[in-house]
Amino acid sequence: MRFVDEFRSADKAHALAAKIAGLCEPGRQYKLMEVCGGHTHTIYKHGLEDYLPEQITLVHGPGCPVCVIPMGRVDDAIALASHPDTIMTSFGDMMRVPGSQGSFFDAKAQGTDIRMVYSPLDSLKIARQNPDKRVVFMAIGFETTTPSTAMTVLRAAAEKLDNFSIFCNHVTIIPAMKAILDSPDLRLDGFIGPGHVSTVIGCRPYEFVARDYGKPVVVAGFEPLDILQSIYMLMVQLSEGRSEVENQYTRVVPWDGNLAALTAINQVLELRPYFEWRGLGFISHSAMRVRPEYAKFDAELLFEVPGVRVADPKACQCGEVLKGVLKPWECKVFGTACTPETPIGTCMVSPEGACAAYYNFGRMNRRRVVEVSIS
Amino acid sequence: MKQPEPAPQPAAAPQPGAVQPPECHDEVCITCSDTAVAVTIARLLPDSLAVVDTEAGQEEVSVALVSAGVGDTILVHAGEAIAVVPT
Repeated sequence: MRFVDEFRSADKAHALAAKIAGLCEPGRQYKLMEVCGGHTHTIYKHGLEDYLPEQITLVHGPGCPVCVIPMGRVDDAIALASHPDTIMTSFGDMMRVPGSQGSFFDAKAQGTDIRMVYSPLDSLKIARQNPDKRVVFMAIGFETTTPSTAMTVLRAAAEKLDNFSIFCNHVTIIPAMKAILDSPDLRLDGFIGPGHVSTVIGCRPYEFVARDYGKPVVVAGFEPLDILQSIYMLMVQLSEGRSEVENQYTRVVPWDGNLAALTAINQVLELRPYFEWRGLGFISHSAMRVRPEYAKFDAELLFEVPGVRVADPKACQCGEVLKGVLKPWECKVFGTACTPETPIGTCMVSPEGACAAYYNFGRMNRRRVVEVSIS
Repeated sequence: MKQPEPAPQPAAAPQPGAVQPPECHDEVCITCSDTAVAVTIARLLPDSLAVVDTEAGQEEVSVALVSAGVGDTILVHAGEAIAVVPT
């Protein structure tokens, strides 16, 4: 990839780290939340925390859609897939998310026809190839995957492909950020804003964070230097007493987003009055459903869906991890009963989940690596 | 009740929780909000589709939401291009 070398220079990273350290006020602690799971992954893959002064704590946000899906929705999806003559299609990482009676993989092993796909377009192909079956796509994701789902429904409508529908679990990031800002558990100093979500929605939706809550937001790219530069930009704002929305990731994030994508989403989907998020509870207007005009593509209307709310396992503390209240290693089952191979909670399932990122990159405790130069 | 036809199975049946899904690129899941895949358009197809070159070979994606031509690098998320990457 063209950007790898440019954005992974260790010398530049050290220089940025020194500038960040120079902006820390003595005795002040800073808590910055990276909203997106992709950023969490980069931070631990490249050991970025070790570049930062002890005064800066990175808090991991809820921006991993697999991590925030509640168990009840997994159960609903399996119930839906268990109907006769039905094929459920799903992204790979969703396959291992545990419901109360097991995951998609467990259901598949018991004979339920659940197939992994790379994109909703693949689901359309399966629908075309199986006209005698009902094909349901497990639609999940933030605003980056929502356009893909919306376009697929539009393609299905244009083709009059009546055996295709979606089980819509798309969520929106802004209400989740508001819920975190309103949470009494956590005091944050600023946000590293999600990059590719912002490619779609633009930077404008974050303005309320800066204006109403006085917290700076810097939309960031996904290479190590992108993230360090975003932290530097946040620290400059904090040191100058400013709270604004800034765009570090200008190479793919337009200030107003992708209008064509927003139009497609708005044509097919609408906001739900409320939706349950794992760990955050019910959040108003935080998820999408199919508009009545496209009701024949809405699996929730076509099939009987139990819709039963299921409490998380008692041992699991994903909720606190998703809100940034607990670090993964502070959870009682982290790395012991709960591992990526046998996840109890969703944060351990996706590589972007905070627990999986900590586990996979050896962050089993609060230890930081300090570089020592020998002369 | 008619039993559903068995889905195509890999050579070894997956054990619950024991299989790493193959969909993740660079160890990052594709359903996340934020790691899309940058690919180059090899040729355009009807219906706003395009064949793109990826590290794993050629794939078909939708380019309905971007204005892009052959040779452009696009950011694809879940089969849908959401941005053109400047080169």
